Amino acid sequence: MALPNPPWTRGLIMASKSPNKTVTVGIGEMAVSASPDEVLVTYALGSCLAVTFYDPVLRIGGMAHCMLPLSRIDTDKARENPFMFVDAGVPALLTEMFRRGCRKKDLITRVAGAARTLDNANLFRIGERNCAVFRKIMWKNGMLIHAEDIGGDRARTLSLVIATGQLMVRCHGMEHEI
Amino acid sequence: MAYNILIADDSLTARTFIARTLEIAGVPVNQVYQARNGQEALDLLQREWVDMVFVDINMPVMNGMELVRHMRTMDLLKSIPVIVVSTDCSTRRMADMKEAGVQAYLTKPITPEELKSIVEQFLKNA
Amino acid sequence: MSADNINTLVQVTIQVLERFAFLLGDPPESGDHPPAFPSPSWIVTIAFTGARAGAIGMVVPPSLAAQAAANLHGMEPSQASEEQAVDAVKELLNIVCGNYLHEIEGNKPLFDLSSPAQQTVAWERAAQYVQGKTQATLVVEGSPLLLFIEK
Repeated sequence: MALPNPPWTRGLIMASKSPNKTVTVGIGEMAVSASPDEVLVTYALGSCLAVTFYDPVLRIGGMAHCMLPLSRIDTDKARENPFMFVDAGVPALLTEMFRRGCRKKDLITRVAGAARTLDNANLFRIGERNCAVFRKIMWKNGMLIHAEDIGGDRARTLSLVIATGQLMVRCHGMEHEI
Repeated sequence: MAYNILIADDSLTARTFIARTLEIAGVPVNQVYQARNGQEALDLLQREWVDMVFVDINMPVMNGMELVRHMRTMDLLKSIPVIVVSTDCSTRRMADMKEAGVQAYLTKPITPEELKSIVEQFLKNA
Repeated sequence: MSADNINTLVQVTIQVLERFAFLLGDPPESGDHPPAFPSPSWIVTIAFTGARAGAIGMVVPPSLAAQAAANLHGMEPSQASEEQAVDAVKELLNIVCGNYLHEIEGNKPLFDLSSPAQQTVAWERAAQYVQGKTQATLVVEGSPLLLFIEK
């Protein structure tokens, strides 16, 4: 029996079955995939936070690219697209992972981004705030962060390989796994 | 194997943070003991077997430094790993505590991930 | 010097609020009026001795303290007891003080910190208490948080 789609699936990219497919996760979007031939990729990750969960038992991966920490600054936009905001997008991504049968204890949580790129003086501390809200959600849900690549002042590209769970970060021409 | 762990800190919040981190991290724990000062910790250590001690420095009645010094004079207690979790960032304090026999020194605020990493490192060697 | 120190105290507090209590704080902005303090509010202070002696403190609405406790214990603010809320702000100030001293004095001098003290007072009393002291009011998740340097 097909599970009903939750109301916020507007931001959800439905993964296709073509081989070696790159599924692009745009700003304020998320994707969940169980297809071993797919790679979830997000580009231009500056002060935004890319959150990934991977279940190595079911080989399901999820990624969200959240822009801002708190949805209360624009509740209409948050209703339309929760993935713009860490406090709305991360719980929604987790809900989708659980809906697909993932268990909290199996999830590998990795996070990247939160650079100081929007304003030179870092007046708004958007990256730091995104991290603080993300940590709060993890702590409240009894989850720990397994790996992170955050801060600095350069944009990143993040790729999650569904077949293996490998998470690659490309930053300033260099690529490494986290 | 499950471990007995003692947390000595006068702050309920600090003790809860460590206890909750151990639980979330899935550290195999038999018993988490809590003490509000060094004297309570020392009394407990003389009654119960403990595999690892977390200790704050600034505590009433008996501070963390005094607790560690007492422990290091007692045969049964002198080899228990002690991890300091303190707001005191001074290099001299860290050196003094290391000299007194603590294994690791973490300065607050710490993340649960940092705490988990240090616990696993010491329990692996226990 | 006091102006530098209060700015440092503000920056350190914002960072500690984020890292320790998962709370987002905004520095005071000229022309903006922070939200009013409820009455009663809490005054929390901590003293330090060593390379130099002094004290810093906070005036905190009890609801903000409850929010901090809830975040730290992984629960809802309504579930946080007064004991947990008081302890949370005491520990918050303890951590702020350690990091503040580290920022202004470096990591060489030794300091001894007192146990933080908390009192519940009418807002007018709190305002009277901080009058004349170097101070700044942050806005933390919609609530005011007043920081002050005793001496």
